[in-house]
Amino acid sequence: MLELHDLGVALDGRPVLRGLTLSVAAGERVVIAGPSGSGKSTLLRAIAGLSPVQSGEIRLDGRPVQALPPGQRDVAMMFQSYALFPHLSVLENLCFGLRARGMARRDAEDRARAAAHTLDLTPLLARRPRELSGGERQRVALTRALLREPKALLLDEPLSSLDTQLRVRARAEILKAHAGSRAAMLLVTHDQSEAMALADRLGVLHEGRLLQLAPPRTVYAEPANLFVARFLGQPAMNTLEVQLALDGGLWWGDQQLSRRLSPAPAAAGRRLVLGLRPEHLSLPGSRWAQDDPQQATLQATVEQVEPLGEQQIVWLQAGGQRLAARAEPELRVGRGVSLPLRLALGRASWFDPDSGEALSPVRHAGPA
Amino acid sequence: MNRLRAFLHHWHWTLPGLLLLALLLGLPALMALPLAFSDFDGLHPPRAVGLGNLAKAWNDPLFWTALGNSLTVAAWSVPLRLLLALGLALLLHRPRRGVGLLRAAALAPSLTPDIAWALLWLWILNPLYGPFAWLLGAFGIAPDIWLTDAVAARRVLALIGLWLLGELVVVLIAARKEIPAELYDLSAVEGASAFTVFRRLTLPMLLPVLLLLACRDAALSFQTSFTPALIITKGGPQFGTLLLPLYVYQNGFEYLRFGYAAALALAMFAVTLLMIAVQLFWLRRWTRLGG
Repeated sequence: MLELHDLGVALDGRPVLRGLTLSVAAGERVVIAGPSGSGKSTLLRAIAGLSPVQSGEIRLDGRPVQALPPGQRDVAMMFQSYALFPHLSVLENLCFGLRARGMARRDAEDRARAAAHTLDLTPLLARRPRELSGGERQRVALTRALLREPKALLLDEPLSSLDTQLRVRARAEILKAHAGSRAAMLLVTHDQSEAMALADRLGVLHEGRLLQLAPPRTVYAEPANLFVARFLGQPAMNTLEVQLALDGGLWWGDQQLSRRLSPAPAAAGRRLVLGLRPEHLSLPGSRWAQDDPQQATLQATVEQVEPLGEQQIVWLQAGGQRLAARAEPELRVGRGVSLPLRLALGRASWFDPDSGEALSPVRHAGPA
Repeated sequence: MNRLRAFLHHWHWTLPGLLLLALLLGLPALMALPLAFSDFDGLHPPRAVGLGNLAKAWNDPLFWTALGNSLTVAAWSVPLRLLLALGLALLLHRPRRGVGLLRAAALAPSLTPDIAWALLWLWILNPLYGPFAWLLGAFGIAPDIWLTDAVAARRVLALIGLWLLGELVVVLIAARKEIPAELYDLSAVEGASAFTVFRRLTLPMLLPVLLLLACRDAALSFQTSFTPALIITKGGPQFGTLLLPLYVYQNGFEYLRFGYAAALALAMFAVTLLMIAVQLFWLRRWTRLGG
């Protein structure tokens, strides 16, 4: 169990993490996602003891560790570059931590061989890192990190140096390697599909603050604020500045989107930001149309079509704004065509235009 | 044609330096080669003597003394210098307040002209008014024999050479900075002690550079020890600091035996090549094991 309480970290006098509170249970996988510069790596380095902590507390199984040197914290870290020793063989790399802690060579090697079996590293044990592919290096680094059976496993962008083809496989390998472990796993990444795929719970970090921490489906469907909403999802969520009229009608500029919304997202007369994922906009004739009781229709012009194979992204122009819609690949969409776009308002997210925070009541509260 | 272009592209950067080297070192060396097989004395026209000069060297006890002295000085100063340079590099590689000054201090002796350096040491070691004698006197030790005993004088020469480690420090600092910081972070997280980190990470990663520097330093030690031997001890006492380059110099420019001196220089060149060959052999082995 890894617990962070009100953690504050500054580098060169500049605050990088502010008031971060988070706990990761034994065997749980928490992924922290955020853009570069959000403080992700610093978070891991602070937990490992490589960056000094200004305030707050880090506990491992209840024991405060922030005053301990890295080697005494019982955490393992997998670095973005994998940090394999180029002059040591795979087997020696695997054994490094155990040997450094004084385990006899034979015992360390026995344990390394047993662990190497899990991720099919056995044929590679005698090789040096430069003779390995990127995916193999990643597996060696992962195996080494887990070999000591640490209380916490910290992974810094573990897949970022792999090509796209390998990433999906490598994701599965991380899940497989961690499956039998009691280590609290904390992974940071800027890649949202990696984050969604690996997380039991997903946190979004922005400018040193944790904006939301919840199961990935919840974070995707009920983002806590506009930043989270726009950070997750590809293409990003469409956001429209709308107004709730006094009679309950929803207006976007001079177009009425809905006569009446129930339940109303906010008090009548208010300005709001309406957030709709691309899959909540449907084109006429699409079988992916959302079956939503609160459909609105909007006249839009097709500007561009991106066929991505398993789906297509249709970029539309409406009321001077660009919108993205998702559709099945078979649907024929002509550029420049004007068509009635349907909006699934029942699935929309609503935000305060000034603070960017999601408006409560959110559609369904309670545990996800 | 393309290969020629590529060749020129690579080489035209080093061309000015190479030209200068060829003119100032290569050409004289080539011209000295035929001298080695003649009895040229600078006064009479040279006559060919075949391998006579080399045979004479073989039977010259002073040649063997000089060779032995040179190898002894190198055997002491090369490893010690490397060790000292490694220690300094590991102390000075991290950016800290004032570290630039210390790095400059480490480099300064190597930038001082040889003659000035040697004269400075002649003063430092003077038993009557030198600061070293004064320092020893402060501890009640009589200044005495360090330049009057053959073995002691040779050690003094090796010690003076120890300070000429600036270039080694610069190269080793650069090599140390090349080791990825994440390897040190990982070692810290894995709980490796400072000694383990040095033995298992820093040393093996620096080893190829260290061995290469040892090769270069061994070859250079024949040269760098020449000026102090000439200025401070003039080869004495009892030929204790008669180093091979000094013996070559004396034969050529003091006794006007240019032919013999050229033959001795040729022998010195062969010894240097042999030393480099032996070390390169080890370098290959170690880097294959290490890298």
